[in-house]
Parts: sequence; structure tokens; C-alpha cells
Amino acid sequence: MNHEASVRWIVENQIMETLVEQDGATGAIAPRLAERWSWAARELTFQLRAGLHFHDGHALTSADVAFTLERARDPALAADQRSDLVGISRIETPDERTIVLTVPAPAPFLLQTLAHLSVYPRHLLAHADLRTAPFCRAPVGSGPYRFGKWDTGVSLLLERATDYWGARSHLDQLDFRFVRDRQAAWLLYRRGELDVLWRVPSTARASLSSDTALAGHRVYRHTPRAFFFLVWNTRRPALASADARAALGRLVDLPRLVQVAFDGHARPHSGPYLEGSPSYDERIAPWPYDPASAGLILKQLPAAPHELVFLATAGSTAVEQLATLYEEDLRRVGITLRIEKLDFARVLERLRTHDFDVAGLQLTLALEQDNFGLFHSSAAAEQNWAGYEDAESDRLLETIRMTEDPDARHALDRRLHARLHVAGPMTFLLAPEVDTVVAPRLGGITPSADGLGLTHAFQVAP
Amino acid sequence: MSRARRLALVPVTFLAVALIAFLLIELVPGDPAAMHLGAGSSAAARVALHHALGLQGGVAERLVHYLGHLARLELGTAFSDGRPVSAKIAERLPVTLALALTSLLVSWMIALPLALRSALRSRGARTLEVVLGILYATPVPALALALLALGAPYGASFGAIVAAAVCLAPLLVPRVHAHAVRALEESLGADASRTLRSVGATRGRVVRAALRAAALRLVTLAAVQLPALLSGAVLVEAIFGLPGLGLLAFDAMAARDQPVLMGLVLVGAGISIGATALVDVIAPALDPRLRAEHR
Repeated sequence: MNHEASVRWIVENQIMETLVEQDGATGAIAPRLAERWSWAARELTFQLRAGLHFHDGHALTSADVAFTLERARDPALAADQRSDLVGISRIETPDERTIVLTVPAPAPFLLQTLAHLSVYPRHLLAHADLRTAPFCRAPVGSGPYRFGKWDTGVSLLLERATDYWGARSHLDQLDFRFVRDRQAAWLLYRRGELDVLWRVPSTARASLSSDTALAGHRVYRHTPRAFFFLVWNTRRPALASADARAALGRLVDLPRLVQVAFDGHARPHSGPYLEGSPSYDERIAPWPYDPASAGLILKQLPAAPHELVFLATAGSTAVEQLATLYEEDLRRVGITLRIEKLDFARVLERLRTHDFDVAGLQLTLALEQDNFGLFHSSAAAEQNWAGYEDAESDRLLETIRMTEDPDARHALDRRLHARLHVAGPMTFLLAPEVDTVVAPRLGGITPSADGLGLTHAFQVAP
Repeated sequence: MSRARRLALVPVTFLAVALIAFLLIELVPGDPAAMHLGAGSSAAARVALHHALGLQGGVAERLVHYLGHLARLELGTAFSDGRPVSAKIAERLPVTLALALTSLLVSWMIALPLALRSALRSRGARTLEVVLGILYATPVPALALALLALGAPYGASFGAIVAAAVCLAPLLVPRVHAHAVRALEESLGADASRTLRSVGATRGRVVRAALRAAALRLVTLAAVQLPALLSGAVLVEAIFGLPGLGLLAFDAMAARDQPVLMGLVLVGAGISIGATALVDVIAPALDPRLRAEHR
């Protein structure tokens, strides 16, 4: 999982604001800069709150929103959200508080995208190079905290915005410390130099309850929106059949992996949706560890694999442990696993050029995941690393993107979940549980349920 | 080779380093645009970013472009955040230099007394050498975390630099020790010490004379060890929260940030060449025999 992106979002979300926000647990969309919105004849109209302004005193108006959307859609800028915004055909601002988006085709993921697109100040960025503008080192937003000081790689200080429109936070300052080494972070926490530690290292977990120095500290356990999986190169003759992939999936000793790599703190996961969400079919379990039947299936295959190249990202301990365990299990059925540990840039290139047999990876899911890029046959040059081509999955993925009714869409998601489980371009494995620990002196904060957020952790409940 | 000729070779060496580094970094697989945009980026977005980063041309074209920049003493801007590479390196260089020099100092403070004991066949020298061997065998991260657990300072502070230097020193000590022992044995056995002792010089005076004779060898060694310390301190920098060049290099490599990597190689080469040149200049002051040679 990309920790850096998550951390960036946590920090960004204190300084900058989005039109709407998404509940970390339920996925429900709620007002933020926009106090209301409505759909009418393919037009989505947002009404901004009155009296919004950036931290430099400049008013935040519909022009800033339009500017942000235009920039995010600019192909030259290649923003993360671009593909989700290209469906907007027109952006209008009839007055300072109203934005009207014309969206000709159904766009079920548009509000979720807007909940993750910060509104940028047009007056500071309209004529600036977005990669080098001073704004990038000292952002000016409209959120509950204003930018204070950034010591690259060391710390980032935010100060409470005095005239924020929303609920007033009880914390005057937020001091983010960037500690590279997780074990070092834990030692600093124990020394009292940190008040919140996100992702306690697994080695320290056991001591959380017994450590007398930590009496009164609150521990929050959550499953972040991340899961581990194996992706198979379906273009390899030996891996082309779903039977072969399912048999290989039955050779992953999941219970042992959970113990060895996660100290027992991970949940089995069977598909590309968040467990507990209406898109995830709870009846589908990951393939059971069953070497005997896997061996039988493999024997009957006309082109069973004898040697597989496993790509592992160097430094990803869990994937390295998975590879080691898997190598052992495959050897018992006569398959040699050649593990290649590469840095992520190389792994990504090998995946993209389909130059691998199997790779162990971790992926972060959106609250409502659009899986088009991962599994649609047209995305083989992008994130469909498996080179997966399946007419039924393609049809489902296309229909999901066009279905605005949430219940109908979620029903299609569950069908896709089932289809992917059987067709097996990926073998989904598990979702790790992580602990966040909060010092007793810090009252009134709760990490958000998705574990990525802490988004509103620093605001006092009204 | 005369000192003047050696100094004249400095720019040539520098250019050669730049050329080799550029080609080596080119050879490393991995697309900076893909790293910047994330796993799910589209091909069109990557092409657009290649244009923005000036990566669209061929290797030769980019090399000429880069050397043009270099001729104007510019290191370009980082791919990752668009900031000037020189600024990124300048803000981290002091931390790393302080760490490197402190590590050297600590290693001398440990190795020299030990070397003297070994050279003078004093009691206890063997025991100390064994302790040192154990320290050398201790993994640096384990030592660093142990120090942190014992309350060592964290973050960009002098205390954290000293703690990090203490962790790095055991790696340097064996070579410093070996060189010092050899130099001291040579000089203590040499005519000067014998003459000094025969005329009744105190042990302290003999030792001082021997140390002076060993100084050149140790300073030369330091000039060799310094460049390795500049980028080799990633682990201690990470554990003690020191924003130095090691971490910058690590991040630049992961992001395939070519301008930053090039900048780091060139600064490293500059320091290395500078240190060697400095040794050349101060050598005659440390060893009178060289003064005679240069005359």
C-alpha cells in the first residue's frame, strides 16, 4: 500500500477542503464546501456555503471550483482523478456560489471522486506551474488548519485556522512527524514524544496491553482499505486456464501466512471490494489451503506449470514472507518458484509489460471501488497486469460504470466478485489489521473507521 | 605525477564521472513518470509527464542537454517536486557532512588509543580488540534502535548526529585501527623513535612523534572513507530522523528521480575529489619527506 499517499491525504485534508466528503465507514456522501447538491436532467448543481474563504483571506468561490476541475482534467497534468472527471462535458458558474456540471453519461463514481479532490485557490495557481509553484511548499487552503512550517522529511506543523466555517478544533496545532523507521516511531511514542502513532509495528503489538508505561493509552484496531493478493499473468500458456490458477491459489497456506507475516492480525479477503460493504459478497471465501486437491488438478492439466517467476517488492516484508512460504508449498507439488525481489519501480514496469508469471502485491481500495482499470480487457496496458480478458467480466464492468442506482450497482459488484473468484486473474488473500495508539493526554480524538482518515480526528464533536 | 598535473586532472575526472553516472542511471530500468503518477496511471498521462520532465528525447540528446546545464553550473530540477536539485542537496548536506565528520572523529577516538596500545604491546589491547570485533559484528540498525531505546536524541540535532555517528563508527574503526597500527609500528620501530628513546626522550614524546608520523596515512584514509559515509548512512539517518543525503539518495532512487541522483553523484564526486586534492595540499605539512620531494 502506498503509505505516502495516505499520509499526504491525511495532511492535505486538514488544510484543503473538498466539495463533499465521504464517510470513512459507510461511504455516504455528506456536505463540506458545498452545502447541498442536486441532479436534474444530466446536470449536477452544487451550492457552496456562504462566506467561504482561503486562509490568506481571499474568498473561495465557484471560480476556484471550476479552476480546480479544469486543472484536474488537463491531460498534461495527469492528475489521479482525471479519468473520473473526463465524463463532465461542461462546467458553468452562474454565480459565485453555484457550480453546474453537465454529465451526459451516468457517472456513479463522480461524487466519490469529488470527495477526494481538494479545491485549489485560483488566484495563486492560475498562472503558476503546478509542479513548481510556491504553493506546493506552503499550501493555502480553506480547511480547519492552516499551513505552518514544513521541514522536509522531518516534520510538518499546522496551526488552527481561527476563522474556519466549521466546528472549531480543540487542538491549537497539529505537528506531524515523519519517522521512517516504524520501530523508531514506536520507541519515540513510548518515550512520550508522539501522541498518536498510526500503525503500531507488529513487534510492539504484544506489549500494548501488558506494558505498564502505556496504561491509559487507547488502542484502535481497524482494517485499512488495503488487501494483499497474487496477480497471475494469464498470457502465459501454463497460467491461461482458470483451473490452473485456482489450483495454484489452493497452494497458498493462508492461515500460516497470517501467523507468520501478520502475527495473526489479518482477515481473509476474497475480492476487490471492501469487506462489509454492499459490493462485497460475504459468502465467497478465499480458496482453502488444499495441497492434495491442488496437486490432483495440476496433474490433469495439459500444460501445468513447472517453474514460475514470482515478483516481490523488495522491502515489503509480508510479500517476501508470502513468497518464501509459497515456494515451499509449490516445491511439494513439483513446481519451482523463482523469487525475484525488485524495487517497486522495476516491479511496476515488469507488471505493465506482462513480464512475470505471478506477483505478490498490496492494493488500496476506494470505499466504492471501480475495478474497470484492474480487470477490463481494454486496460491491459495500464493496471490490468494479469492481461485478463473475459467477456462476462468486461460486460459487468461496463454496466457497473453506467448504473447509477446504488442497489442495482452493488448487485452487479457482487456478481463481478463471484466471477473474478472463479476466473481468478488474481488470487485475493487477506486484509491486514492495524493498530493506532493514542496517548491519554490527547482527549476527544478518534481515528476514523477506515484507518486511512484521521480526517476528522482532530475536530471536536459538536 | 606532480601535484600540479594531478590538480589539472580534476575537471577531467569530474566530466568522466558525470558521463558514466548519466549512462548508468539511464540503464536502470523503471519509469520516473510511472512512479510519480502511481500504479494506475494511463499511458497517455505517462507520455504527457515525459514531455513535462524532458524525458521524451533520446539518451544522446538528453545527455547533451544535461551537460549544457552542467556547464552553466546548474543541476536541474527534481522530477518529484520540481525544486532545484542544488537547493535539495544544499539543505541536506550540512547534516550529512556533520554526521560523516563526527563518525570519522569518533572512529579515530576509539581506534587511535587502541592502536597505540597494540603498537606499544600494552596490556588489555587484545580484550579491547575483541570488544571492537563484537561491536563491528552488531548490525547497525540494532545498535541504533538500542541507543534510541536508551534515550538517544531523535531528529535533526547535534545529539542525534553524535548518536548516529557512534553507530557508524564501529564500521570505520577496524580499518582506521589497522592503518594506525601499521603506521605506528613503522614509526615506533623507525630510526627517529629509536634515536629519541636513546637520547632519553619520554614515552609521551615518542608517542607524539609516532602519531605525527602516522597522521598522513590516517588523513588519506579519511579522504577515502568520507565519500562512502555521504550516501552510506541511510539506515542511521532513517532511525535517528536525520534528513541527510543518504535518505535523499534512497528516495531519489525509488522514484527514479534522475536529476537528483545525478546531482548526488556529482556532489559526492566533488567532495571525494576535493578531499583527495586537500590531502595532496596538506600532505607536505604532515610529512617533511614530501616537502623535500616537492621542492
